[in-house]
Amino acid sequence: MTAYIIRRLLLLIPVLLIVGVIAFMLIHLIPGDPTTALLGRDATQEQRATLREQMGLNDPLPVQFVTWITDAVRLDFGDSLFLRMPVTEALFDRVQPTGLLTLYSLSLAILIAIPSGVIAAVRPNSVADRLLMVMSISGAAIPGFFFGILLILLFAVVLGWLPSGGYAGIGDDPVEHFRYMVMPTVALGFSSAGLLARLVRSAMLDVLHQDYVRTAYAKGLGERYVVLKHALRNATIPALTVIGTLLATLLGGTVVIETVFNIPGMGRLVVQSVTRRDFQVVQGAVLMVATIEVLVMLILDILYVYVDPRIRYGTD
Amino acid sequence: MTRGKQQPNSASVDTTEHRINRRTVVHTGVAGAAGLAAAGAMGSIGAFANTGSGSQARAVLSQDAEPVTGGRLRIASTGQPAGLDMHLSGARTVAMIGWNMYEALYTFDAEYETVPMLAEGHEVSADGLTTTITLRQGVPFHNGEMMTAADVVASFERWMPVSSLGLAIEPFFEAITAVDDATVEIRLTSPVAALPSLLARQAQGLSIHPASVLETAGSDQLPNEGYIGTGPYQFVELQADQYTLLSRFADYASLDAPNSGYAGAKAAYLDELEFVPVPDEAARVAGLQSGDYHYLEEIIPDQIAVLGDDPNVAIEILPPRSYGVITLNTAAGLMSDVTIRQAVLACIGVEASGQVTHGEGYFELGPGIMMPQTAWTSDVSAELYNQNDPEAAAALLAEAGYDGTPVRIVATMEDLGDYNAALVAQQQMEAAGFVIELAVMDEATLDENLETDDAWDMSTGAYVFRPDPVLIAAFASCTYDGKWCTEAKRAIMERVLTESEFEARFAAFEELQALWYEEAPAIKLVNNYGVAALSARVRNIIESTHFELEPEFTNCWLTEG
Repeated sequence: MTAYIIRRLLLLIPVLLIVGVIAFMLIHLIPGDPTTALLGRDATQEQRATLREQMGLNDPLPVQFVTWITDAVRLDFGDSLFLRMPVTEALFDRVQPTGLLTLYSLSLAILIAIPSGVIAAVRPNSVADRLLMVMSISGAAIPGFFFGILLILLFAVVLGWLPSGGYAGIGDDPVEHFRYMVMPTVALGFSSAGLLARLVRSAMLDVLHQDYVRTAYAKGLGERYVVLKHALRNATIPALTVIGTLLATLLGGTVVIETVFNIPGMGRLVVQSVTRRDFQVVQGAVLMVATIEVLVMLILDILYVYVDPRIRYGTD
Repeated sequence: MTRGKQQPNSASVDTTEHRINRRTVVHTGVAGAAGLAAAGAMGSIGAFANTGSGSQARAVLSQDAEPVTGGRLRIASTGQPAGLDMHLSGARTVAMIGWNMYEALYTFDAEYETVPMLAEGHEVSADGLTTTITLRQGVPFHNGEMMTAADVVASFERWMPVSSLGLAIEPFFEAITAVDDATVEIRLTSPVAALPSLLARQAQGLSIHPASVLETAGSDQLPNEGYIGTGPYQFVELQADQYTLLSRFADYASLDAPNSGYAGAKAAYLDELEFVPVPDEAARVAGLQSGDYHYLEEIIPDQIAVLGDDPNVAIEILPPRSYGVITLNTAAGLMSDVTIRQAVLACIGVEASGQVTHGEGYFELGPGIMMPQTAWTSDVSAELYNQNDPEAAAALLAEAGYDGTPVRIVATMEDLGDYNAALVAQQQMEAAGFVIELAVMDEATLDENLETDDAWDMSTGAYVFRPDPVLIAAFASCTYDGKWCTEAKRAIMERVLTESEFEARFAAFEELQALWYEEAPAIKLVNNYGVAALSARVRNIIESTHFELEPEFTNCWLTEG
């Protein structure tokens, strides 16, 4: 297992190199540069040209790439052209809101989806099953941003219980932090819960019809024990794969939710940086997200081993 | 020549169907021109009168006669500013934040006249080549230093080569010197009548900073600790994408004169100003309704309808703050042919454009290429405005030998108003026989296209309010989008810039407007009313600033909420 983990970690190097090249090429090959965002719409062409020269944007692309990749190897992604701070600092400032929002949403999705999926599978075609599946389809069908706006209208505008948007750090003011995060978490988590619940239901239905489950019942084990101990554990493997994919989806989903709820997270930063053509930030962020994705997939692969002892990697 | 319209514009605003407490402001125009100082201080006159329900709404907003000190005003801006260096950035958000903490030598009063702020006054030599500016004494910067002539010289020297306004002075500039601590002398090679206007408070204007700060920064962006001015609010903190916080400057040296537009006394009733970047329009509106924000930098008419009759919100319709334009690429391609440009001018009907870009009640028609509330307003060549005549356009196209080459319109959906204007223009031009190729792209791509002469033929946008024609880049510069730069234009603009008497400047400007319609480098659409979306808790703001340009929050206060 250790050798496998090391191999997977080493695989990060070519993956990140390829991702880095693609990110660099994409952001530099699309037209536009940061001068409008920096100087304003009324700037003359001379002003833009002068700024472009000052920022080194007139250097040939290969020169810019070599400079960037050489620094990136040392974990120096350069300075944001717009924010005027190191890219690593800008990204780490925004990891907390995005990371916590993703974590809360994923937790909410799991908390809703697994019980719903299990209940629906244990009592197929019952009223509970139909009700839960209608809710899960609704969750999957309603776009997160639309659901978010509805939540804002109800809880911020009409009832005035929660702030319409913004963010407070969990270390600065935990109560405010949760007040700010409730609606985005629900908006993002609810749609993921729908998808996951349907998958858990389907996986559970498959497992509940397996011979070993019938054997467990024949042995006289109680339903709760059979469902939770024997069936659910086996149904968890496909769910784990989906949870891994879901994490990527949620990270992507934060882009929209962070905009709707005005959360200063990575998603919003990346979108704004693309608009501003803040090349260094886009490149750094893409590399960071790619690293997170690869690491999450590695963790999932490791988890498989513990969930299903039949799975083995390598020789150990 | 007709200057100073005597009647309210024909497209007066009827907003009662939208909101009960909306104030309608229509300009009454002006009669006659204000004389200009021999030095050429920009002359402009204009007055707004409240009519109908408007006066009532203003009374509602101003009912708290006693100012309330304290509180934090939260402003939802459209985006994160790229720093707060006024010299380097002309972005609107930078101006909205920056002018609460910086001041300039001159500013604009309620009548759009250029009046002293940090300057006490000035004299111009008989030949018009030397301007001697006397500075106010005892004006402290936020870092405790006292403002002197050395600070003004350092600020000017940094600002002139990087600002579009400074670049307009540069061809005539000879030297700037500090005569003594309280006197600055600017020597020019030719009289520049509009010099005080060019030095006044506006986007990318000459903000005055301590020389010690500028020496450290050089031509680079000012660091956060370098955001030091003499204004009533001082910089506290900028958290990118979260907020910019300013607090009251206790030692602010206010002018002892009544508040008037941007001029006069500034009371700084509020403890703090917090500018929160909220790019999403729906989120801004929801934040206003829920009380999280007190003012929205921008609101589109569709969102105004969403507000309904919310008693916690006040929507103010203000005088025009910009006008839409269709810019034609005079430098290359189809539109370098003036007859084809005239064909575009002939087929455009502006009312449809106003309807789709701003909606009924939020625009007015007017041929003037300077705003109707300024002394520069004129209806010269009005007969060429809003022609909506596809037959005449088709005849012009035939005369030009148009062969059906597609007209490339470049547009972005990041500004829906501009995009909709492009769609309307497309329809109207197709009806006249043009073949159109509409390319939609993001704003950064659009800007790059506009800089490439052979990449586009036509684009849509807006010219924002400026109180003097020399402050409008499209007139003053030869390299603005579309590159309108004929000999005739350059000669006229030099007169607008250098003539010492307003009457002579105005006569030159009217020639410019006539030339604009004759050469058709761009097509004027409609005047767009400003719209202010405020919390009903905010008091004394519309009355105490030029809201239609960009608001200052230096004389307003918050009632208990």
